[in-house]
Amino acid sequence: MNRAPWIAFGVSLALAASWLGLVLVPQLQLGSEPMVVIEATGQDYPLARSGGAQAGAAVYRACGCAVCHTQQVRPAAEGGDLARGWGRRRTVARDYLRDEPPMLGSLRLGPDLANLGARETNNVTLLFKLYDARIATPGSTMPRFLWLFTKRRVPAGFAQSPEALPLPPAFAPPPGWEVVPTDDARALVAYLRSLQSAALFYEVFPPVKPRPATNGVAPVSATNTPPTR
Amino acid sequence: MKPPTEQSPAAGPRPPESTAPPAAEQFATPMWLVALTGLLCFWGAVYLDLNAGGFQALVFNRGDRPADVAARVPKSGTGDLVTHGRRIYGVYCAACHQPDGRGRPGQFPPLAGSEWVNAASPDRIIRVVLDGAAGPMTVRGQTFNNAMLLWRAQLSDEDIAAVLTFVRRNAEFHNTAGPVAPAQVKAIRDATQDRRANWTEAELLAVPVSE
Amino acid sequence: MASSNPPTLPPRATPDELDAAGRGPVLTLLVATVGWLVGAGALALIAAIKLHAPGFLADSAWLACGRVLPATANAFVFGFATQAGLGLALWLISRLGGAPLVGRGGIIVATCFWNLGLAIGVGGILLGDSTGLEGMELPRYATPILAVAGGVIVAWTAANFLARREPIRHVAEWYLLGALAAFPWLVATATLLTGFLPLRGVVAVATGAWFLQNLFTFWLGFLALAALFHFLPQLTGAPVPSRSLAVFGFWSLALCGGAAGLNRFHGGPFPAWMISVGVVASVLMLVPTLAVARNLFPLLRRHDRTRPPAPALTFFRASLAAFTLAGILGAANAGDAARHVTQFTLVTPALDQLTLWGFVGLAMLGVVHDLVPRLVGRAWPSARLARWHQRLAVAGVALLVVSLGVGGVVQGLALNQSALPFFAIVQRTVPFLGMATLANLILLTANCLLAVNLLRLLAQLGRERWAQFAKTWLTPLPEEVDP
Repeated sequence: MNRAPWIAFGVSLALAASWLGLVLVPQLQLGSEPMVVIEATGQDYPLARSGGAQAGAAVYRACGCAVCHTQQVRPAAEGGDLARGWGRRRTVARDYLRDEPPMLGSLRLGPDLANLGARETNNVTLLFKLYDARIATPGSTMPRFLWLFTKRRVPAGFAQSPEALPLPPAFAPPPGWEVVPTDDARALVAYLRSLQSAALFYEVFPPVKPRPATNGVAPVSATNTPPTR
Repeated sequence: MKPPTEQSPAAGPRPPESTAPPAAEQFATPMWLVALTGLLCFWGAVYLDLNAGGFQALVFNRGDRPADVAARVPKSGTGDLVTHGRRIYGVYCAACHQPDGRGRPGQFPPLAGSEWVNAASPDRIIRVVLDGAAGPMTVRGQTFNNAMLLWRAQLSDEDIAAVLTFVRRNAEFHNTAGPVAPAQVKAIRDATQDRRANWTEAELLAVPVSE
Repeated sequence: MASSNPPTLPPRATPDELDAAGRGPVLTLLVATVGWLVGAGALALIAAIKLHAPGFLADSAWLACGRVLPATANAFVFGFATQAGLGLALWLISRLGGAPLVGRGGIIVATCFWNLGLAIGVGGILLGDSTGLEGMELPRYATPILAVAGGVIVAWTAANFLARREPIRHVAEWYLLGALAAFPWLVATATLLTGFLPLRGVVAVATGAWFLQNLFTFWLGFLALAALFHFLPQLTGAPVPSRSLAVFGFWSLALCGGAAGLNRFHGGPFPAWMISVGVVASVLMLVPTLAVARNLFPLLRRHDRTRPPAPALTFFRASLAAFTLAGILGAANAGDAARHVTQFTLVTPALDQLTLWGFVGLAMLGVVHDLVPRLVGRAWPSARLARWHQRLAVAGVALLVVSLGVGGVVQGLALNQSALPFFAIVQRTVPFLGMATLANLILLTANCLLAVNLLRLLAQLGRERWAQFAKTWLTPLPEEVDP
């Protein structure tokens, strides 16, 4: 134990073992995982994001939203995620193939966002949350993201811009002013609305429940090739 | 530099020694710790056996086994069904409907491009395969008057689902309909258990196939 | 000790020679350490306030909570803990090996670049350039600077290790050597796989978890254990009871410590085996934890009370307690039943802080406390400030961990009641977040006391040096005339 080369060698070996096991093997198992064709629509899952939503992912990353929000749903047996309505199934590795990088998060000071796009389809609601979450939820602790909005003067004699946020009176700027979301805010909202992980694969497939015979649509909304590994 | 003994003037004297005494050369590791290590290693092996899903990439739910995941696949994945269906088709169907699915004009109706095959729901053709069909039938504008055998006894739910999936999704037949699950076949088989007669066109048309 | 030297090695240098040789590089590292400590403390306080007071500094994008928190973590880990650890490694290797430090200029220059790279990186996170990978947030334009600068320092440290004049004799040296061997792996993985060869999908997250776990174990953990295994016997005057138990603890830590990382993503989108391996490794961490604790706690009991009281001992004692507690709580929290409650709650940061601040941070504060006076050759200017620093730092860490931990359990129990609206859960955590803010305020105060003490020490030293300089160089003429 008093020989330096053995200690260095042994520690390198221990480190190499965990590196091989927990970096390389996952890369071999999951790194080249193919997209899945959704049979009903012929699209690849996960769905490609629009340019705006991709820009929004960068805003999400830069603002560090993942510090307080997770994007992962646990299985029904662990915790109450599904019961809370945060998804219809647990999330699996395939759901994140388009995320660079996936921002899973590890703390829930805010609700989970893995299926926000399925819950929240109103841009204005989301913009309100970003501007001041207390509009919808008095007492919320979500920070304000004021730099995503421009407060500007409405020229005298003109109406408000159609883009201006229709803020309730208690939160509205003084008369003659309006609050307009920036491109970043709009991109972030597009990204948030693109968050969905609802397609079913057989990794997480619920047991096949035949539908009534008279309405025999195949119960498969997304299938993929059988496991070869 | 002042000599080291005078170096601690105001606040709290410095520790006098600069090197620690080396560890005692005592070769004792407590037995309880060794026992605990063995116990934890055993527990770890058992835990991994139960919860690691055979170290497979597709087992996500802890406690599942690879077989559990695989068991869900053939019912939903179409790859296996198509392979199996091609075999069934060759044995049971190709004699009449022909390997290319075009049938025989005036004798056996075509499956390629058939509106019966490509219906949104497979509910009608499942019935046809289970109990056969007889009497005049119109397929792609042509009327056929022949009888099809019933396969209820010969083909299992999986067989029928496979062959119908093969036919409905066959690109060579220019068919593009959705797959058929064994569960769907079973549901209809159970629902039509007491039927002892071939289907007629009129009976089949009474079965809804649009969503 | 010199009598036991094998004849082939040159005789060891005297402590004064060693301190004189190590003064430049080690002091540079330690002063930078204290700077980052105060900076990280200020950022941590801002982040802690923002977690429960959403209107606080809401106008500036660069102070967004989501940017300040990762910036804090990186400043703490790479500015404070890593630099203190490197200073400790250099000093301890020279001291135990008996050879004066070589490569002093190179180390000082590399230290400057390390701080430059880290300032760029932390600034980059604040400007919104974080990579988004937990544990590897530093942007890719900063990591190569850090990799090269850190590599140079570690290479010089290793060179000093090879130049030692005494055989390896101490447990602390094993841990130092292990940390030095692990550094290239860790840095290469973090640098290459975040910016230059990004991995796809969740594998990137798994790599981040691997890096974080191994950084905590093989780098920060090993350095802090080196400090404990050196200073506890030295300050108490009692030898480590069992050498074989130390061997056992060392290798079991090396084997189990690296695999526990993915436990952090319990229930996450990873194949079951990855999570399960993390669970088993976390539980197996009990073995090295108990082995180290069994070997070091007796030292505190056998403390030779006739020796002069050592101020730094408080830190090492608290650090040892935090290490033991972190291992036990980590194993307890690994189990499925506990995780179903604590996952995604404040328990995660509580345990992170227990390791990072409690175990590593307090050990490194002890290192600063002990080494700086030794290297400067004079005691801390104010013993009262030093005492208050100790008390406040230990109290702050304890309050931080307890408030986050209890808050996390409350939060987790509430999260699992699916009928309870989410907002009500957040409201329950607010008092605990407030206590965490108080803890951060205490820690910042404590570290400011340390900084003040250090600045006064350096000012004294500077004045003395200046007087010496003035005496010898600015008034040369009378000396030449007089004789």
